[in-house]
Amino acid sequence: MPPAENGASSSPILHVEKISLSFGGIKAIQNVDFKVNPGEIFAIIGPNGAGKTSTINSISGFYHPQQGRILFEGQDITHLPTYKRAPLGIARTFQNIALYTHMTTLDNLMAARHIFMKSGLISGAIYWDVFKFLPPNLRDSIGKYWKPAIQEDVENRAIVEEVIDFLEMNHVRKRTVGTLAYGLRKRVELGRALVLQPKLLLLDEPMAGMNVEEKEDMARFILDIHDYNGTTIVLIEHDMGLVMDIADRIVVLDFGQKIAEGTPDEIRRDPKVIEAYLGEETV
Amino acid sequence: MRPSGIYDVNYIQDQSLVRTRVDLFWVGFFLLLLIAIPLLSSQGGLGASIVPLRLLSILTTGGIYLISVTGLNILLGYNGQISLGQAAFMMVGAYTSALLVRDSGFSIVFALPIAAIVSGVLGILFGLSALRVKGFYLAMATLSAQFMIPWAFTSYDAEKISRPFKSIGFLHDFFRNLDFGGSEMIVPNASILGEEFTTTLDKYYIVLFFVIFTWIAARNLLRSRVGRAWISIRDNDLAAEQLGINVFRYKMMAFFVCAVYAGIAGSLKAHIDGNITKDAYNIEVSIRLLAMLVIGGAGFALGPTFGVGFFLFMDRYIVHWLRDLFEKRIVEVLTFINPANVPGALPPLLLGMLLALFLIYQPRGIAYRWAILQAAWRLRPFTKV
Repeated sequence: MPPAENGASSSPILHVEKISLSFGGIKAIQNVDFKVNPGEIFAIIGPNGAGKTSTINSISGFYHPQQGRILFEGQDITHLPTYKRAPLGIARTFQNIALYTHMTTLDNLMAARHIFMKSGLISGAIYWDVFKFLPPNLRDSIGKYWKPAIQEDVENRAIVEEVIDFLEMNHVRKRTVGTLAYGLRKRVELGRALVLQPKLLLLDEPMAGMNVEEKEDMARFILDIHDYNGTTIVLIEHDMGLVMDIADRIVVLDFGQKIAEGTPDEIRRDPKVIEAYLGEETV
Repeated sequence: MRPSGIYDVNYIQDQSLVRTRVDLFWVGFFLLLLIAIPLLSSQGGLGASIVPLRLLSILTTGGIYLISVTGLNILLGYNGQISLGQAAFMMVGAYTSALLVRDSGFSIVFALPIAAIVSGVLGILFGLSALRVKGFYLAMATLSAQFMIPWAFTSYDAEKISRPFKSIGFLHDFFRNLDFGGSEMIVPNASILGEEFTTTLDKYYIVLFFVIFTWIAARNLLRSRVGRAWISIRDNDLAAEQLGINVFRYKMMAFFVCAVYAGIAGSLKAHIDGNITKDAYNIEVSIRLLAMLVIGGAGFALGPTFGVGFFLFMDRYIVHWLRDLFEKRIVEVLTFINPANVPGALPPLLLGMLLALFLIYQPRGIAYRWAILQAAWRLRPFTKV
């Protein structure tokens, strides 16, 4: 895997253009506008109910904002059906773990390889390499139109195993994810997003509810993903110390509005941010 | 859980169904058993008549239900949708196949797949509501299939239906000549290459073939890409959609496959029963199919097999045994009951009671219990049950 090119290129990979989203009378997001450059770790922070998750949900297609546009690599994806976004290269994790509870870790990751595979009802039902016993030249000509499901499974399994190795989940490969500990489940979910080989990875509170060690592990994984694959990462996180450490740029939301954007140092000194987090000084 | 001490050296081996010699032994054993059973009956040609023909016909009926329940397992157990119209889709398969064989002179080799596809398409039609509704509401929507389809077939009036098509010659003739036989349709025997299937033995083998075929197809489907997509939708449809699975499309595929299985089962049932009646495909049958799946364990590969086996055993033996046990006493205790009604009224009551007990004490089905037993056996002697 080639290391990421550091330094922002001129065209943003993701442009959230003045989106507004409301549920009835509640305005979840108002006029939020930011750009994410390729190869960046971009954090969205803000107090509870600030609209962070709604923003991520709008990008991944769970919600469709009523106003504004979302551009991914220059393409308007505001009204693109949800399932068509993953093939573009957008993957995400969820705040409340949304794994396929009854499947094993392996199957969870294999299920996420869906968009890279082709086999349908018929080849799935046959599954085996039924033309194995034909002479090679005949097999080759059939092979242009037909790929046995098992072969496809094995090819994709190799990529899945790479991710399992990378995230150090070998020991839980065949365990049902419903039985795993919380921290591991978060990791499996990260793995499930990774096997999509995304260009843009949306992480919704990847470290919520973890202890310090687990947080450090997760931060290491996030940095590794960023360094080795050059994946652009958009991150929501509450742990300020951690965000300030790993993020390249930060946007701060409060009551559905953007109140600040900039590098960690700028954010740390921004009076509006301090006000949102600590309240106004009344002495 | 897998047995210890067995290592896979490549992914194909890791994913194969028959992984160890012990597995191979059991698969071979059961296949041989299923093939050998009818040979020991009076029609078997070996001179032995150890196996009663009645058992063969029970197994045949069981096989037909097994195909249907396997379809239901894909829909309910693996995709989390529900269908209360499985018997109706069987009926579609039955009529389609019967008409093709009787009126168009098709061999069952062609009639059965066509019947399966027709049934599958209707399955999609009634499954469309899954786009908007889930759970109980979807059950209601599919229940409509169960009421509409049998009604449409049994009250079909060739005169009335064909009248509006008078100007379109071929459609008029088509509807005019369509004969569903009213309340009962007589169906010819199935035949392949002029060879007619008449004896219990023949019928057993043709059903056995389709049982094995559909069983393997279902098993393979469920471990391939489509199956994983189905399970994803069952476990978390919102996440599935965000990971690039077209949820609606895959739900419709599940409805299609479920109805295709029903169509195959229905087609076989029509030719084996020799007739199609309204009662053989009514709502009670749909619910029984559902009960078989729930008893066996929805979402387990072996669920339908256990379910159909145990349900038929319960229905035909345990219930009758219990009835004989209670019949006299119930009249003694509850003196206001008319003794003449007791033998007829008890079996459904007892069956219902047994089902309720099952749901209370074994809600995840026999297959779940079986999986636990297997795991316990593999962990011996350190087993804690």
